[in-house]
Amino acid sequence: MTAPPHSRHPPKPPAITLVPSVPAGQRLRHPSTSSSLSSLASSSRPAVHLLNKDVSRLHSHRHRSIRRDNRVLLTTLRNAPFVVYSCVPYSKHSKFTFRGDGRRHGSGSSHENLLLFGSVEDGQDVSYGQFLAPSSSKAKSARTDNLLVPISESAHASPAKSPSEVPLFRSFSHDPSLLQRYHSQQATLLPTVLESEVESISKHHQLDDPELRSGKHRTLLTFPSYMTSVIDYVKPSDLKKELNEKFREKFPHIQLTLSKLRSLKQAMKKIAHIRCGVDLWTIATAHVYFERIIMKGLINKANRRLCAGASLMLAAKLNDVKGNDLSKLIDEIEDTFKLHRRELLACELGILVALEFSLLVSDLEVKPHHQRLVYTS
Amino acid sequence: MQKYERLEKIGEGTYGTVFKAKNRESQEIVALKRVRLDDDDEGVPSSALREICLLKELKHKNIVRLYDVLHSEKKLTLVFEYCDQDLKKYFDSCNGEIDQDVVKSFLYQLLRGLEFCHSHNVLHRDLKPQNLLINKSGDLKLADFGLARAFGIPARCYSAEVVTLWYRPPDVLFGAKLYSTSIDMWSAGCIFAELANAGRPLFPGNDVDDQLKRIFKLLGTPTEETWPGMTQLPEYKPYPMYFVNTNWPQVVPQLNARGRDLLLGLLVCNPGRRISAEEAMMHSYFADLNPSVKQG
Repeated sequence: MTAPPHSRHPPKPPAITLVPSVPAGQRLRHPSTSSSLSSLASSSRPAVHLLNKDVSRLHSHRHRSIRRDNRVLLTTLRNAPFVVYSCVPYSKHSKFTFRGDGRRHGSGSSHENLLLFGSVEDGQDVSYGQFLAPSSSKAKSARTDNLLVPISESAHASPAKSPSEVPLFRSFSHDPSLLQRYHSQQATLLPTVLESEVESISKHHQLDDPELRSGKHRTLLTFPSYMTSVIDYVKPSDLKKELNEKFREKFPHIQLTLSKLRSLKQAMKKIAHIRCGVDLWTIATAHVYFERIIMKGLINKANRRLCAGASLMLAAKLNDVKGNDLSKLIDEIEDTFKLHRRELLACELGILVALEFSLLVSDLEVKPHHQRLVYTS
Repeated sequence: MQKYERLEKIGEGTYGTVFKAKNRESQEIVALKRVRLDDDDEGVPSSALREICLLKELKHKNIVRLYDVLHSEKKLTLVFEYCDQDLKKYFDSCNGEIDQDVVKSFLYQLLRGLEFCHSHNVLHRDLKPQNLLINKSGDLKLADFGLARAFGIPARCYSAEVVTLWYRPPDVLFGAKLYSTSIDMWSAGCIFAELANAGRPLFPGNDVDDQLKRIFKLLGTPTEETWPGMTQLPEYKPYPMYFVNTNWPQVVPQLNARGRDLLLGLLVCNPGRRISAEEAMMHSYFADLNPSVKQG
């Protein structure tokens, strides 16, 4: 029998910790939906009394020994957990201890329980059929199966076409009528193309914003005919600290600093491009996968190198890297990131599922990453 | 495998065994492809990965449907739509005779599936009769996307080790890495001729050299004029200029003049001059196509 994967895995410590765990120091607000739980949360002392009632006991002297930043898991006698919380002492200056936005990321989505690969029980199947719906916007657009519609009409019928969907007319150069038709089709598509392009590019820069380079140590001067920036000298460590803080403010749910993200991306390039000769486009694709995983809040200190390595493997496999080249790439990933093959392979499958098999990314999404790789070479 | 009852083995795929199976609940017949996952190996095989990620995006009546992906310990099982046979087996069963209306219908459906792939930026890269599935009601579906890949515009360099020899275009035989949708159009041309001749392959070469000779003997050796850039291809080597006076009605005796015109539009050595799937579907050869096929 197949069942939704989230009911499958017992919430034991993950073999591969892709599961977004509660970061140290993150406050976990008890869900307000459950009144009993919120009453439990309202004051911390009665919680102990409640515990004495019907769940495994937490003695008060033990309770005192719980250090701040630790997570506490409340379970029933049969070890089924029902509450996770952490104790954070009140402090006026606790700004940085409350990094999280208070919510558990990704709850409600199926990813968080999905990533315990290796732990599929014997004889049990997990079905991923729900991920097989087409992901691309083009597939969702009003494109019907009726291919008899003349081209001009079909272009109007599906205004949400992305430029990558425009079929490649291999021979239009020697067929003027076709050329004309192609252009008229393009003309009608133009506005929507621009929109989707802008949207896609802005989406890209969401995570690793290339503008986050010089921080506040930059003065922008706007003149009638041109703009210029004055970048002051700043100690690199100060700059790094500032940029990381900015990044953390923007993405409180991501357990990775901007500088670490950038150094991992550089490492991916070094492994694949410099040591194994994989082209930059493939690496840019790996960056897209990697950033999507990060945006989903699935990354943490323990799995970041695994995720970077597995993203590279997936991008390589879909871009004609095979045979000895692939073996060499996998060996390099293992060596450089100091990973075990077993974990790397489990993570590969984990990422594949977390991305819901949507590894076909549009050129528009890869392009900005590619450009950055080219210009930082 | 609780959900499916395994029936018989259908064949060996590129990366695993294919079984016919029955869904215990719905009684639906499906095809199961099993993919082993070894701990010390290279992870999910590329071909399985391609098949999952590409077929997810390609839902069309002329493309085999991937229903589900099941993960169990150390293996993945891909659940596909079941078809009765492939075109190769169909040829074996038709004893050298084929109805030309069936040829037209199959080619149209092949082109329609291909047009869908190409408009979704996917190259199949391994079209051949074994990878075209036929069901009892005469529907044709493209299958085995294990070598397929996404392509970009403008084209980038891809692997030249693609397509089964007999269906491989001359540019790829010369080691071209910069190719696009035209790669599949050549294969479609070869399959068209094979269909028209009820299963006799058009260019059954023994190796790359023999393959190119067979092609050039029939179509004429291309020159820098007819195919600019040919001599710059990575594995280009000169071939004799064959004297060509191909009698096409002899090569494809059952095919009418319009059909021959379409065939010659597909079998063009210069990839830039090969017609696209979309253009081919609008060719006058299909003017009298059974409307039920056209509407699908």
